[in-house]
Amino acid sequence: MKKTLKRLPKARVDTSHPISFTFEERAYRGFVGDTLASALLANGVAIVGRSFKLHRPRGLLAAGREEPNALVQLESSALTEPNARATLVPLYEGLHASGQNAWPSVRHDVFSPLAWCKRFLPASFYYKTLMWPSWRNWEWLIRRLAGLGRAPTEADPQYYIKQNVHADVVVVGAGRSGLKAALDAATHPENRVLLIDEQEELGGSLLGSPTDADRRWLSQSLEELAALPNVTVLSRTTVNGYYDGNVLAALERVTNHLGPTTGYSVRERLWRIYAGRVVLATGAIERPIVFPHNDRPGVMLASAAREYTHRYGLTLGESIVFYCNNDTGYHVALDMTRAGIPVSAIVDIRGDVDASLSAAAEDAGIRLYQRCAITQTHGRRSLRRVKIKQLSPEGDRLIGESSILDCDLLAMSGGWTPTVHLHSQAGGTLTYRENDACFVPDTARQSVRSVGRAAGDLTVPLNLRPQWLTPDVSPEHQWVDFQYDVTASDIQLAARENFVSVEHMKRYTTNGMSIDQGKTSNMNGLGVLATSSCRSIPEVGTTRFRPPYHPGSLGAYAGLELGTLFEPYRHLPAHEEHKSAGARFEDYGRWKRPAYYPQSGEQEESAIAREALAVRRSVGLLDYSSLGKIEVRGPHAREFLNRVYLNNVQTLKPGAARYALMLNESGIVKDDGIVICLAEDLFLLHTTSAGSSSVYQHLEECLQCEWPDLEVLLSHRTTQWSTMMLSGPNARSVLQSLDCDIDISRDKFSHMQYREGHILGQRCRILRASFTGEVSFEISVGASRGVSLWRELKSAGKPYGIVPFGIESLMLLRTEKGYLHIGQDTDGTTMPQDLGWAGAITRKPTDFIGRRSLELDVGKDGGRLQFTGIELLDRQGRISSGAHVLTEDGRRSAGYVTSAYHSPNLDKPVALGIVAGARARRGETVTVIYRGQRQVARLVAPCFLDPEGKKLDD
Amino acid sequence: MTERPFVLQSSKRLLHRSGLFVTEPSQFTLLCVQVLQPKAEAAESFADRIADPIEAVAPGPNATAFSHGGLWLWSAPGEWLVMIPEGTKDAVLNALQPSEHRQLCVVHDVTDGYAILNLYGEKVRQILARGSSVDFHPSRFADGDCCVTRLAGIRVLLVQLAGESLLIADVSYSDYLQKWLEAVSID
Amino acid sequence: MLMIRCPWCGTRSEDEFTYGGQAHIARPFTSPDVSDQVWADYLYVRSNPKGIHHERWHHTYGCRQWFHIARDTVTHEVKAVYRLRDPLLQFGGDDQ
Repeated sequence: MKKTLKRLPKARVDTSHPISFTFEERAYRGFVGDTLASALLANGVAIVGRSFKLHRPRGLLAAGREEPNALVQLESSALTEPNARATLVPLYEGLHASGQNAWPSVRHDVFSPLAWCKRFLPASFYYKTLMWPSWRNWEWLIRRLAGLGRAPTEADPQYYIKQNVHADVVVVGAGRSGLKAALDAATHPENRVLLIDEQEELGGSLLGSPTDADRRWLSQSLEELAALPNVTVLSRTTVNGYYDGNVLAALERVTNHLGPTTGYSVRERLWRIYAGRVVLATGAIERPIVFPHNDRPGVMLASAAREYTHRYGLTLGESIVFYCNNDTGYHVALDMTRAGIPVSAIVDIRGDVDASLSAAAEDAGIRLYQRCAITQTHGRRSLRRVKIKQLSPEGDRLIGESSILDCDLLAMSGGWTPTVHLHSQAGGTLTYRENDACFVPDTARQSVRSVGRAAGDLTVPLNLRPQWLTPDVSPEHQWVDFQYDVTASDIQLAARENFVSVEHMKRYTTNGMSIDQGKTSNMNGLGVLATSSCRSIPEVGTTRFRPPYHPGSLGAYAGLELGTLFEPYRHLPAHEEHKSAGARFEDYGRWKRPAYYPQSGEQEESAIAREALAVRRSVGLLDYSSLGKIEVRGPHAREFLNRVYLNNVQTLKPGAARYALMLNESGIVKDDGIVICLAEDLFLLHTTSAGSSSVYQHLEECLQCEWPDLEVLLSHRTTQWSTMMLSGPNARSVLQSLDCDIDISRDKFSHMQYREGHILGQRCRILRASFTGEVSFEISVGASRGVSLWRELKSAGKPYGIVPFGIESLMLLRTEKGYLHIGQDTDGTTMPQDLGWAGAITRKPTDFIGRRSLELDVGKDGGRLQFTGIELLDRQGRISSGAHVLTEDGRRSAGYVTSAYHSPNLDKPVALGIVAGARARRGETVTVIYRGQRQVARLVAPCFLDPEGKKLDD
Repeated sequence: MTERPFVLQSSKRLLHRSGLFVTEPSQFTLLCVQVLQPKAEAAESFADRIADPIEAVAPGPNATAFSHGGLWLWSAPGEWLVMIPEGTKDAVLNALQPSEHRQLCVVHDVTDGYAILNLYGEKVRQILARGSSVDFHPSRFADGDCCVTRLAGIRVLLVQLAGESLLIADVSYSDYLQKWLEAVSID
Repeated sequence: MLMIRCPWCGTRSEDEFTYGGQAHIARPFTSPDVSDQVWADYLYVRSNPKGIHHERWHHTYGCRQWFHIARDTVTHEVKAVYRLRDPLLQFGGDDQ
C-alpha cells in the first residue's frame, strides 16, 4: 500500500491540524477529519487485522460500518474497547489501537501458518473432528486460536445514560435522500422532526462525492436544516433496533470521538425513540466479488476507494485496477482519473457494457478487459498483481490463456445491497429485484417508509450481471465472509450436507454470524447457496434481520442502573435511626430493612440469638412499617372481603382482627394477613410486606373486573403509617409507661383486638397480634412520627433491657412458634389444606376465590406436600433450609426444609418444611439430606414453643 | 395557571445542577379524595350528571385545578390528590363534607405517605424523559397538566406548573428518587 | 415494545402496564353444579388465536385501571382499546 504524503486538495480533512496516534505500538500521524482507517491507509499500513479462524492478513475492505477486517482493540485496561471498526473511529490525539487475534502483531502473526491448513478446517470442522474424547478437551485450544478482541476486565469508569424522546417524523440516515425527507417533513411547523445519522458529519455518501454540485447541495441543505427550529439532529448515532409500536433504539457516541474521558461526562447515550412515522434513508452497501484470494490486503470495495480518495484525499495506489460486474466501477474509476489519480485497468465480468461508458473509460486512458474474471491475486503482504482469464459467453467457464495485471490496489464492485435491516426488523417484507440482484423493501407493517438507495432506488442503472462465485476455479479460497473466514467451498459443503435452508446454512457455516452480521457477505452467501443447490435466490430466501443493526456497548444498555440504582429501593421512615443503631440492612423485596443489629464484634448468628432471647425474656422492638396496609371501605366491604379471603369475615366485629389466607383462583395460597374491622363498612388489611402491592392489585382486579357492582373503595396506605412492634413479656409494661389514652390492660385489650387513640399526643392505631408468639403490640402512627415513636419506645424500654431486633430475628422467633411465612414455607402448589386449614374451609358457608379449585382431585391427594415441623434427633445437629427430606427408600425427595434455625431459647435445632403427607406422619423418623450429608429427623407438629399459646393470653 | 402556587412557598434545597434544581416544599397538607365511580355512565360525564361539591370542581384526567383553596391533581378516575396550605385542613374537609345522598366518598390526609419534589430549570423535561415514556414536550405536557407514570421504575405523579414541575411519589422512595435525579442529571 | 393507549392516561409504553390474560372470561357461579370440567376450562383453557386477541391490561404505573385491548398476535398491533363495560369488539376474521 502506498504511503500518502500529501492529501488531495478537496479532501474533508484539515491538514493544518495533525494528530498523533499509535497502532500496534508504532507512532503515526493523521489529521483532523480522519478516521483511524483513513489515517492507517495514509501511513501505508496495509495489514490492519487477522482473520478469525485462519489468521490471514487482512487490509481495509470498506470505509464505513460494513468493514469486516479492520477490527481493533482501542485503548487499554478499564477503558479498552474490543472490536472497534477502524473505519468508524474518528482520530483523536493520543489514540492508541492494536490489532486483534494475532501475536505479536497483525503484521507478524505466529499463528499465520494456520492459513495453510485451510482445506483441513472447513465449516464446522470442530464438530466433526474434535470430538475425541470430548469437545471439552479441545475447546480451550480453539478459543485460544480463534477470536476477536478482549473484553475489559475492570469496571468501566465512564458514564452511560438513557434518554427517551418523542418525534412525529424520524428520519434515519442523513445522505441525500434523508436530508430531503427531513427538509420535506419539517415544512409543517408542527412536525417534530428527528434526523439521525451514524457518521461524524451529515451527508452520507455525498461526503465522498468529488463533484462541486453535490458539495454545494449538501452545504445548502445543512444550512436550511440548521435554520429550522422543529428539526433535531443526532449525529454519531446509530439506530440499532426497530421494535413494535414504532419504537426505535439508537446509540449515540457522545464523547467517543474525543477519546477516553474522565470525570463527569457522558460517553454514550442510548435513545429510545417513540416515533409517529419513520423514514428510512439508510442507503446501500456495496458487495464484494467472490474470487480466489479476494481477501488479500489491497483488495477493496469501489465505494471505499471512492470515499478514501475524495473524502480523505488519499492516493491509494500507483497502479489501480477495478473489477466489477456493473457500471459502478466505471463511474468510480472515471471520478478518480478526474481527480488526477491514474487508473490502469477495469476488469469487467460483462461483455455487453454500454458503449459510451466504455469509450469514456478508454478516453481516460483506462484499459478495459471485458468478459473477464480475476482468477488469482498475488502479493505477500499486500497486493502486487492479479491473474485474469476470459469468460465464456455464458459466463460459466473460463477460456483462453491467463494474463497478469500488475496493480497495488484492486477496487471491486459486485453490486449493491440496500440496507433493509430496520425495515425488516419493523416487520416489513422484502422482495427480490432481479435486475440489481438485491432484496428491496416490499410491504411495511408499521408506519415506516424507505427512500433512496435503501428502497432500491439506485439513481443510475447498474446494468448488473451477477456472478456469485468465479467458475472453473477452486472455491476453496473464494472468500464470502471475510470476518468469519467463510469461503464459497464452505457454503457448497453445507449444501452438499443438505443444509439448504438459508437459516441452516448460515449457522452451519457461520456465514454472516460475526459482529458485522453479514453486511457484506449475506447476499453473496445466498448467491453461492442458490448456485450450488440449483435454485433461484427468491427460492432460497433471506435470513431474518434482528436487532441490533450494529453492536453497542453493554454499558449503554446498563445506563445508570448500576450499584445502588440497580433497582428502586424503599426506606423505612426511621431508616437513619436503624443506621445509627448499627443495623445490618438487607433487601426484602424492595425494602431495605434491618436484618439484625450486630453489636461490636458480633457475628450474624450470635446477634440474632441475642435479639431472639431478649424478646422471649423481656421485650424487643421491631420497625414493622413496611407491613402492607390496605383500607377497604363501603357498604359492600365486608361482602367483598368475605369473597377474597378463605376465612369468614362476616362474623368479624368492629375492633376485632382475624388471621386470614388469600388464595388465587387455582386454590393456591397467595398471601396471608390480618383483617381488622374498624367499623361496619371499614376494614384494614395487614398484608405481608412483600405481598402488599400484589394483594392490592389483586383486589383491584376483583373489584374492577369481576364484581363492578360492589360498592367498595380501596385505599393503599402502607407508607402513610409507621408501625412499630413491641414484643415480649414486658411489652405491655413498656407501652403502659408511655402517655397513651388507650386502655391496654390485659382484660381490656386482648389478643387479636384493635384500638384507636393517641400516643404521645399523636393519633395512633394499635393492633394486638403476634408473629413472635409473645404478647405484641403493633403501634402505628403517621409516617412522619415514626422516628420519634421509635426513640420514645426505645427509651421507655430501657428499664426492661429492650433490644431492637431485625427481620432475621423475627424469622427465628416465628419459626420456633411454627408461624407460617408465605413464600418461604409455601410454594406455587400449596393449598390451605396443606397448612391445616381444611376445617375453616368446611365451616365457611359461602364462596370465595379459589374455593372450587380446592374440591378438584388434585387438592385431595394424600401425598401432597404439607406444612410440618422437623426436629433433628441430634440436639446439637445443624439443619439448613433447602435440605431435602428423603422418601422411605432414600432415593427420591419427599419434600424439603423451608425454614431452619438453631433455637437459642430451646437450645436445639428447629425447622419447618413441606413434606409429602406430613400431617398423617407425625412422629415418623425421616432422613434429611443436605449437600450429601444425611441426618435423622422426626416429623412433628409445626410448633416448638408454647403450643397452647399461653404466652399470648398474658 | 400563572401564579406560583402557595404550596411551594417554603422549600428546602436538595439538588443544584446546571439546568436542574430540586427543592422540597414544606408547610402543606396533602389530601387524597376518592369517590366511588358510577358503574353505568362514563366517568367524564360524572361532573355534569351530579351537581356535587367534589365532582363539579375536580379536574378531569391528566389535569389540575385550583379549588377549595387547594391544588387538585387528577390521579385516577374518581381519585385526586389535593395540596392545601398547612393548617387549612379542617376548613377544606368541611367544604368537602359529603352530603347524605351522594356517592361513597373518602378523604384521607396522606401528607406523610408521599414525597414531593419541586423541580425547575431548563433541563427538567429532558431529565424526566430519561425515566418515563411520557411525551414531555411543552405542546403535549403543558402548564396545568399532570400525569401518573412510571419514572425510574416507580409510580409517580408529575405536575407541570408555570416554570416548575412537581414530582410526587411514595415517601419510601424519596431517597432513591433523589439519588436517581442526581445521577441522571450528570449532563 | 407495545405502545398502549390507556383510556384515561393516553399512550404509554408497555412497561407501565400489567398483562392480565385473555379478556371476557366470565367466572362461573360456583356451586356443586359446576363440574370439574367447566371449572378447569375457566381456569386454564384459553384461546390462542393467530390474529385478534382480546386481552385484559392494567395500568399499574398510571391510573391503576383495568381495561381491554384487542391485539393482533401476528403484527402485535393494538387494534383497539376499550373499557371493561364496553362490549367485546369484533373484527373481521376474528376467530374467538
